[in-house]
Amino acid sequence: MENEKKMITLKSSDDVTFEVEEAVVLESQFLSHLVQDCPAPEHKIKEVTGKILSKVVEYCEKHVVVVVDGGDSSSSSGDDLKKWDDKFIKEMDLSTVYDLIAAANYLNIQALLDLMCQRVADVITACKDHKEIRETLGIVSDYTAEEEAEVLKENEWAFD
Amino acid sequence: MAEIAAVENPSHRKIKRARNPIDGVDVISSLPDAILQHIFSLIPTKYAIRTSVLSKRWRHVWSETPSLNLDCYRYDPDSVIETLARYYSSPKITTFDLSISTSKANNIDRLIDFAVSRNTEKLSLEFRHSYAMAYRFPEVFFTSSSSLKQLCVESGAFDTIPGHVTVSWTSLKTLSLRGCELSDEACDKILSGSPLLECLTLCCDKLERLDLSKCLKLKRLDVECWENLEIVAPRICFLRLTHSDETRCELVDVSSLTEANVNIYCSRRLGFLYDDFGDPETGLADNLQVMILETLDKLQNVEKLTLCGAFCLQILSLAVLCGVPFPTFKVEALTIETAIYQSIIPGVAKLLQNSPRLEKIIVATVDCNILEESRLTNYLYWKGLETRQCWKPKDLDDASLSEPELVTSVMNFLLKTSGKEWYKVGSYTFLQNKNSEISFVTHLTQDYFFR
Repeated sequence: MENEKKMITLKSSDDVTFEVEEAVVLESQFLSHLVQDCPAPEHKIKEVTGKILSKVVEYCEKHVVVVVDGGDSSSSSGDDLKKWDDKFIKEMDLSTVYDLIAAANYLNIQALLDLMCQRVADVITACKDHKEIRETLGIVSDYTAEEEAEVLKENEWAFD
Repeated sequence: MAEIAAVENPSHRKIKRARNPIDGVDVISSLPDAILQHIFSLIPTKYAIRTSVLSKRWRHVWSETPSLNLDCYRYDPDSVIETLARYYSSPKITTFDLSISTSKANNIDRLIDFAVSRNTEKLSLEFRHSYAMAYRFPEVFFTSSSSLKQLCVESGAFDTIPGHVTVSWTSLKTLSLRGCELSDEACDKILSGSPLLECLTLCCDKLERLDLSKCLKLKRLDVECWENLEIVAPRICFLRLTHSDETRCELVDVSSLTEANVNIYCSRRLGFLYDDFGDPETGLADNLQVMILETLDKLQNVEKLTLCGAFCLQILSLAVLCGVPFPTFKVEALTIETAIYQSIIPGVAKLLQNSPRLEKIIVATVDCNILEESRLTNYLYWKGLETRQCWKPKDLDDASLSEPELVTSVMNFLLKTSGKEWYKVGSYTFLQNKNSEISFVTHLTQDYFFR
């Protein structure tokens, strides 16, 4: 525990740097392979902006800490983590959620990807109809009115 | 500096993103289909289908979602079946959750055919109104579901699998049958046709003998008995056993167990009125002691033991006070889920005393059915025991009867009683859980906690 921790620097597409412990990086399948294969002190992640990378780092740091402390898997740490996740996601706007989905997919952080997808899933189920989904998710329709009516009719039962 | 683009790596998943930060174009629509389908797998399929009308990009995305969640109870099964047949194009279904009324057996047959034909891996079937009309599965379900890895059925009938049908669930690892009718013969057929089964949950009518000795891979058994049941399970490591005071569950062989969770609860008229409890003619109180101690006797070798419910502990207390011999346990981690009453104390204290290897105790307070303490007192009186002395050990500070003070004094007493010096070095933590009940967790030492 008291040994010096190995630090790694991550650099975003817009050159924002984050110094993190190696354990944090290991939350990402992609980065852990990268760190193993290429033991440089600094890694540039061209696909992710500083704004999004800061969120990724925040998430991974939280999840690493909890796993280490709760080595005995006491249920309270699980509950605390869930509360933290809820808060983390609640404060987030959807465009950040989309960017985090892309980043979590790219960096291969399954738990973060799942959390973000769940947020979108909750938004979809909370909408009363497809118009509200479209509006909330920020999707522009390219259907003509006739085409739209046709698609609606195909699976009418799902739109009641 | 290492640049990601220069590294070739199998885990590197390329993302296509037509992201345009200037006009903020529709980022979600530019996510790969696999991610959108992952989102759809988290919601009822009805909502996924709704997205087909969002834009052309979304038109067919849902139709390859590998998981389906269909509520045919609320929607017309014919329309649902037509949608699946015409538009759903995934050749393989990873998860298929279906709830449907049993009054539509033809539709269920068609949906099960569909699930089988698309090589479903995890199938969950919830039948409603099943008390009126139990659903019996078509032969194809037993003979052709070789890709099935996980099956959960709620309220189905497995009482008669025809003699000529051979169950061939060659990939099945997890099976859960709840509220089902399951005969001994059908159960044997299912088990012998599921050679990879690791995890079995049963809460079934009609079952009298559960013989798992030929299930070579089965490690976990979760069983709730509604009727008397014999269990032969020499290979299982984990057992969760739930039954009431009115049923008997005989553990014939559970010799490999390392972890057990036992909940023997009091169903009889809510436990508060149990007129014949201490009646020497019915011998109920005596029989219950024998039954619970017989079960515990089979759990002597487990390392992790959880006992649920105050009722079971109350009966153990009676056994202690009446001088019934108690087994010695090898348990290292003991969890007790109970309401705190004086009448559980002798039982819990004896458990601790007879568990020399104990390293960790968790007492979680929960609401549960108890026997009225006056019934216990009457029984002990009839046995010629002075009850006041029994319930109130002289070390126990019983001045405070409200939680958490009662919990604290009970726990301090128990820890002293256990004969270990824990109360001097142990760390105590009160945990306020979701239902704002109080859990009491004690660990042997700080070292243990942080190990």
